[in-house]
Amino acid sequence: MTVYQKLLEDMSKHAAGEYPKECCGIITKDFEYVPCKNISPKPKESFVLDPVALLDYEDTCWGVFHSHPGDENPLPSEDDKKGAAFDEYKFIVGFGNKFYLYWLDRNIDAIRFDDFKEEHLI
Amino acid sequence: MRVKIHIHKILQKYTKGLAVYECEAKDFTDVKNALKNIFPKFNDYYSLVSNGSSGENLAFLDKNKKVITSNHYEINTLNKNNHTEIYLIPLVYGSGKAGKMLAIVAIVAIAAFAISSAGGLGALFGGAGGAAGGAGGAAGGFASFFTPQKLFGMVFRLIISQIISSLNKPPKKPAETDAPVRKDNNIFEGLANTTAPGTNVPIHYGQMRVSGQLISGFVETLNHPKDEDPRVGDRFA
Repeated sequence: MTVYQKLLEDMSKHAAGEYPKECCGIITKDFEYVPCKNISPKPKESFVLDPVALLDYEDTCWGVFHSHPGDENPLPSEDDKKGAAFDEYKFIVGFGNKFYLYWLDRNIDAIRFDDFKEEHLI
Repeated sequence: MRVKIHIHKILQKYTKGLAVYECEAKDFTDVKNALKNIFPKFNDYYSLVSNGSSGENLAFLDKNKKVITSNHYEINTLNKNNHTEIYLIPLVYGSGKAGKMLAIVAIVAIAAFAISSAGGLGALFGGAGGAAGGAGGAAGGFASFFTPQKLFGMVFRLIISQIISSLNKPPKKPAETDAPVRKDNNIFEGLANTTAPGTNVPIHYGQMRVSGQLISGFVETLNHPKDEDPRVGDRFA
């Protein structure tokens, strides 16, 4: 199993396990998935990544994943895009076996997104 | 109280690369203001966050790395046991339902209240929903922001403040007059009240030069009849 496949599997398992709530976690620079606590008061429709996790992985965080429970085509929502304002991180949203990568591109000062592929792990 | 603020790595671009900053503070407002006053870039960044121009937001963690929530910000007093060290951390969030996110983030975001006040009166009472601009957002924010406990607390504080203000009659301020007064003041008089309870007192930051209490002063006048009370204003007319 490749690092990419393992990452997809871990994110998918966490999302399924937290259903119907949104789950979230950190992806390290080694592309390992670390499940984190969603501290949103309305976890079925939103996520707020536990800031403690961002502190613990201050030097090693590559990106942040969250799920859209039950969504067949889990595109990043408008609020997801607003929350992706830290251009140091990549963001992944997904559920089941569908995952999108989105990130703030400072060159065009806008959010870009794409199907999450293995080539993104650089 | 001396507070050590640990700044998260990705926020250090706003603090000239500084990872730890120490300041004197008595509440969370002092901590925020200290960062804003010392680091101009952080001040600019915080303005963008608080007026909703940037989707970014921030959270504080206490010494034990526990999230400081809006309940603490309402009390707005630093605790010697937990707040001698504070961590400033970026807040990462998202929501499938547009417009609800700011109210949700308000539980931990340090700039949430600033967001609500920027959105106008409706937004003020709608918590962070005001940044969404719509009346629906404001109403939704109201429901989530004003829990029965918070409303009870507000009413209780209002009643207590009314009772305290009714017990403390404001002292009469010295009347301002230019009527002639001839009085020797070779002895020190007692201090006089020049303000009343409930008057706002400005809080200053940085280096200050403050005058002392005026103890004694006089104006000497010349060339006038002995029985005439000269008016100072007339001498400069």
